Amino acid sequence: MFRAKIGFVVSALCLLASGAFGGDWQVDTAQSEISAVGTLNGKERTIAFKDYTASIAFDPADLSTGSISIDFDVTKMEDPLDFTGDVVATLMHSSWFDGETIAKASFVSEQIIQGENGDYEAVGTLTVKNIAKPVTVPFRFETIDASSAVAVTDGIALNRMDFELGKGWEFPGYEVGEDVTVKFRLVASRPAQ
Amino acid sequence: MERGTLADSAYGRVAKTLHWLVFGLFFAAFPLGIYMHNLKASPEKFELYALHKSIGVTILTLVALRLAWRLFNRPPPLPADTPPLERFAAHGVHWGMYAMLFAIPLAGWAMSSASGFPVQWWGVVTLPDIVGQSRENFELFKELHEIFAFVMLGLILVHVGAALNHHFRRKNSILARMVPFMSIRES
Repeated sequence: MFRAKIGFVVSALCLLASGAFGGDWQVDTAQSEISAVGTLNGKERTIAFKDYTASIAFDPADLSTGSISIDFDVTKMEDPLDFTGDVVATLMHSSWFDGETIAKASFVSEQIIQGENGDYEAVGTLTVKNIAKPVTVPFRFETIDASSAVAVTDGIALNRMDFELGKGWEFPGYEVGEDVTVKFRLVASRPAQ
Repeated sequence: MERGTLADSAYGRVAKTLHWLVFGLFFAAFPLGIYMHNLKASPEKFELYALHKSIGVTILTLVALRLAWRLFNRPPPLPADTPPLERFAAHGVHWGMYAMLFAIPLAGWAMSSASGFPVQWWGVVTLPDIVGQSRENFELFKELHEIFAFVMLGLILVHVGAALNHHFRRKNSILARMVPFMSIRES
């Protein structure tokens, strides 16, 4: 009996912590993707962020209640073409993400507003390498069914030097473009309402 | 046999220059390749990779020039009394080295293409990719790049050994005709 009670309390706490009762969205990271596309010697190169925690409240009918907060562990990134491990190791270097010292990056929205063509914009702050910059994230919100939806962006244009990524890493032979496009496709669900 | 009786002349200035340039560049790129491969990811590692690739593309260009030059400027012939087997071996080693001097940089270039690192030549020219991006291609050309480099090293050893044998034991002008400032005595 006592065990059953404990079990109930733990389950209830988990539900509360997950925000299920608040109508928040739970991101299915297995189906979702967040990546950054840059260029190396003029060729596109994509890095995928594999470890992040998203906390999303979003109701298209009432944007004022919306908020998005995503924490990234930058040490968990993948480059599908990094056959030697050198690229990710480089990105962990102090000139780049400095993963050993600063594993965390984040995006926190201040407000979500209606954008153009039925899209939305999350206006907030992106913090990478402990450098915070205002960023506007345009995204589309598409309902899959009563309890699930997908949020997609075609691209957030950033300049990596704003976050001192790759600062001092300049030499002939490996030209890394300063322009980076962050893309995401977040598949999320919440209890049907 | 006295020196100078076999071939009427030495290699020309252009052929000699290209030969020794490629020799020097190969012995810069080869140890560099082994050294940099084992470094931890760092700016230095990438700088050395960039240098290695630029040297490789330079070798490829010089060897192409050398072959083109050779078409119109025939190298001095082997001594008339060279036994057929030796003649075959000498030509085999020479053409083997030409083949490797093409194959090594091309395999390296393919390796870079396969892993999404377009090759830049001294930071000036970016070369197009020559194979598709895939782990299979990368592993294949990495393997070939290494094997070809060691085959080249073996061929160089044979080549140098033969040249020294000609010079010190047979006392002919085979070595002298390719070494700058080494005179060929006419008989």
